[in-house]
Amino acid sequence: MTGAAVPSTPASESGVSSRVLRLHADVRQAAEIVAPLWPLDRFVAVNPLGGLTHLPFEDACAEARRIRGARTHLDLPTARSLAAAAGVGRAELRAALRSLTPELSAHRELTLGTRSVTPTELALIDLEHGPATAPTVPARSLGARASAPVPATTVAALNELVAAWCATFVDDGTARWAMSGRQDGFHRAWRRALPHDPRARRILGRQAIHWLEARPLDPAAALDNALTTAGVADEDRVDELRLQFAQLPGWAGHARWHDEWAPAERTAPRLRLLDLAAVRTSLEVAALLHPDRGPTRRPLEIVVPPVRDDATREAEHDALQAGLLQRAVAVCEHLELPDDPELHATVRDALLPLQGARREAVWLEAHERRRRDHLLQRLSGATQPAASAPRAQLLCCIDVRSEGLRRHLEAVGDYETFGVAGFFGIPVEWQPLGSRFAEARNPVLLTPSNRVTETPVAGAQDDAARELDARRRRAAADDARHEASHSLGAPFAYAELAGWFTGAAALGRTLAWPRSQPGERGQAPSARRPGLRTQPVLDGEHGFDLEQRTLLAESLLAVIGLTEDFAPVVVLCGHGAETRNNPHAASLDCGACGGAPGGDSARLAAAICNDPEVRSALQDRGIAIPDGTRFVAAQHDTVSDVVTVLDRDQIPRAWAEQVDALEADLATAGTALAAERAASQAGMDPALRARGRDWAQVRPEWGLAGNAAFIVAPRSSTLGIDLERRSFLHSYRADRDEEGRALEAILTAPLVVAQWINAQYLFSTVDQDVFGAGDKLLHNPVAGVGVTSGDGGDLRAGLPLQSVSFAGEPVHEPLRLLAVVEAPLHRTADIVARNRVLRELVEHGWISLVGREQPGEPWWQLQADSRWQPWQGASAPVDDGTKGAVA
Amino acid sequence: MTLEGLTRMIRVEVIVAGDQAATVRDLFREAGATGWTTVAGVSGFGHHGERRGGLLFNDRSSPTWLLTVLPEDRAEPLVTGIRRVLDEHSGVVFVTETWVSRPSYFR
Repeated sequence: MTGAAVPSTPASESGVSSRVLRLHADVRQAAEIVAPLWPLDRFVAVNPLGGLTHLPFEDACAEARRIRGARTHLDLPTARSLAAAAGVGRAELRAALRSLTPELSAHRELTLGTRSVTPTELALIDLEHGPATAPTVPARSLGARASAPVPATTVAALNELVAAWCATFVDDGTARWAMSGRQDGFHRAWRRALPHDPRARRILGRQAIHWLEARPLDPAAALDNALTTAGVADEDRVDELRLQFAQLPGWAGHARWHDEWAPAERTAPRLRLLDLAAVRTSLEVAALLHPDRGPTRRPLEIVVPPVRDDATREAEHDALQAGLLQRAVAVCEHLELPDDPELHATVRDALLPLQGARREAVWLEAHERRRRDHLLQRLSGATQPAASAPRAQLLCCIDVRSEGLRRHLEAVGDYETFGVAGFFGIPVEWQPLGSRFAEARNPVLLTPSNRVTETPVAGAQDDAARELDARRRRAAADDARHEASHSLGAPFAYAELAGWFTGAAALGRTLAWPRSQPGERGQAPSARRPGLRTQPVLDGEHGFDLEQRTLLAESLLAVIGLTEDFAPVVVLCGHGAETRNNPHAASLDCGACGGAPGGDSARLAAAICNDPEVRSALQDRGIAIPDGTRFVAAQHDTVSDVVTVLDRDQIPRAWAEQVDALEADLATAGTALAAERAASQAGMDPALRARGRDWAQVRPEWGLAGNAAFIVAPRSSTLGIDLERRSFLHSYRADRDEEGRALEAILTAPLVVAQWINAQYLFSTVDQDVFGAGDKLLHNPVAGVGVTSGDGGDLRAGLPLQSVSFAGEPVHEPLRLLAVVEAPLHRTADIVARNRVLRELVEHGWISLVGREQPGEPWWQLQADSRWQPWQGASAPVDDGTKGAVA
Repeated sequence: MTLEGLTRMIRVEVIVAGDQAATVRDLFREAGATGWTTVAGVSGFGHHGERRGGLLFNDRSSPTWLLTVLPEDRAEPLVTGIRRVLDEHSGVVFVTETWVSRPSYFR
């Protein structure tokens, strides 16, 4: 193909063509290779391969390896070294082999020289001692595939440039000069800026810029033009577009957020996937056509082979065979067999089921089986009786960090604890007093349709007015400082005047009192706003009417089975993480609250449950909350493990004594939990409670590292077991949910979000470069939306290095989520079968799901065909039938 | 029923998983549809068995029904785009003739 005019595409009278609409669909399909990337202040944990859950897990991983060159599993040396510590042995490996490569077990013994060896034995040797798997050679974008490829340095420079343009386009006011024409979309704004950008001319040359300027202004037409010019066949377009997005996966992910998740009412410029694809692809084609940056007037003839042609397939096949043969030789050497090519070939053929990256998949399965057996055995032994008349009930978030707090509080006294999503079932836009903005405080799976504001409590109006006035003055001072730092001459005078004070303050914060500064976020609302005594206005203009409030309270209580036997005090305990100078602060806050601290959600829920009208309406629905029961809001700071009771002054005196005792016990439990973390978590020490106030601290806490299971059961099934802060715990009473509505709500939302978190930790651990955010020491916040490593380049998605590893070793054990459900098996299976999101997760192996009817009953595992198979543990023989299947 | 005075248009209905709804809405927009209706959380029974809608804590995963009406020349490109989406994701598209009383609303 050449750079000559592109054949016109058939268009309707309206100018819309089928080709363009198909291209739109192709772009969206291609973007499934990257995860949506939320702005940093709304950090949302997502499955990096979440767009591919319609594929089996291993197929999705293979696609990530092919397109993004990613590692998707622990490499063999790491998997082997972790196996010893985790207790993963041959029993688990054999079970994993039976499950993933049943054809191996079906083969007869092989005669190798004088020895008889089973294929399974050969596979085990290969798994334990075979050479590492060669990394997958990723597919290349069109510029690299061409007969005269674009140099890698040019590609890197173009990526930097496109990233800079993206940052300028989405800037939220950080930059002094905004990109012009942003209302017309990224592609058109870029085209307007292109002739004036010397960087583009330096990289591409004048002729390439002229060529770009002659392309259509419409992004779809420009993208179609670029792809056609490069000779990319229609059936190859999704692949090519995936490769284009893989060049800038961070910005592509952010564009995906704009296209699929950004609030509809958002008015800021929208970075669309189509625009990004058009800009990136056009630049690469321009570089291909005009490689010499000289005065060449005519574009070169270019030949771009398909992403996967026969030669590529043949090369892939040859590489697989070569790798397999190398492994066969190693296995023969291990067995001390003669160096005989025929023996090598026999072993190679036997190992075929483990070709490519299948060994890594077996190791993953083996590690998961070990973890599963260990957990299920422990759950089978739970015998601790629950408190019969608890002095208080504590509803904590399902977050794995809450498990430690619950366990320690239960050890202190007669407390009953529950797990529930930390937004307490209230999807809402929350507008704090004095704020012009409202934030969604719910999981991103929900779109809030109500807004709740705040008002000062009676008698606190004057205090509130003074506080708001002070806040306005601080904001004005901040604005003035910001303006001064952006003016042409002012920074010098500003530095001269203010530098003495700010410099001294910075030195003090670093050396003298690093641990005594208040945190920036994550603190309990009442602690963050001294002097501001407020209460939520639930029934305001966009708030909740009585029917809605009653429904919210009923859902909250019914979903965890707390519909009777209320304690005198019921604590709704949200969580947040107090940190400073931390762009990823939201990643440590409550995911169920959309990446915000959960204290305000707890306050809303408490206000609803204390509302006499709501209680009266609840009574009509069979939930009688005694007058002697008071709901109280609290927030758990997961850095210090300090729990703060909120709106303390608004709690009536009748409960004062009980709340005093509760606060004392929460302090005891928090101290014990902090001590446990200091002793058991890598890099933590007895001073860990103050880490959040240290502005140089890159690891305030470990967040959800270690997460591995999601348990849906009454607390009595886990009581007294140290789950090591690795399990999401959602309370559920099957006997109080005959229609299964509560279980369906739990499995279709909290479980789904937990799987996203789990997958983000998994992939950020196995490949920091591709799926992680890299070293926090290098992070620079960009345009208010993300961070880059260094002073430019792509946005970094995923979790930072300091969230998943320590001293070069993984701290998070990368396992897929194990869901444990204690409920009638047919109920669980029916819910999975009728909800696509769950069926895909189970059928395609993104999670494993085990269940039992009730304590004392055997465990069963839900199979891909929706049938239950008895769980027997890795060391016992697997029953390949599905006897007792109930689905 | 009389159709006198009405104008012929094409009605395109799509039922897809909630996480594909944004893509379908974009295709509607790109095809020049002047409006559409979305009903999230629909239930039903079909090729893949029962489908549950109206989940308590999840607006994004249950089936979503999207409807638009547009002139015939814009319908064909739209259906091409939607079929491309359905190549990879479960869902259905229905294309029918319809008549409207105020054609200017749909052009």
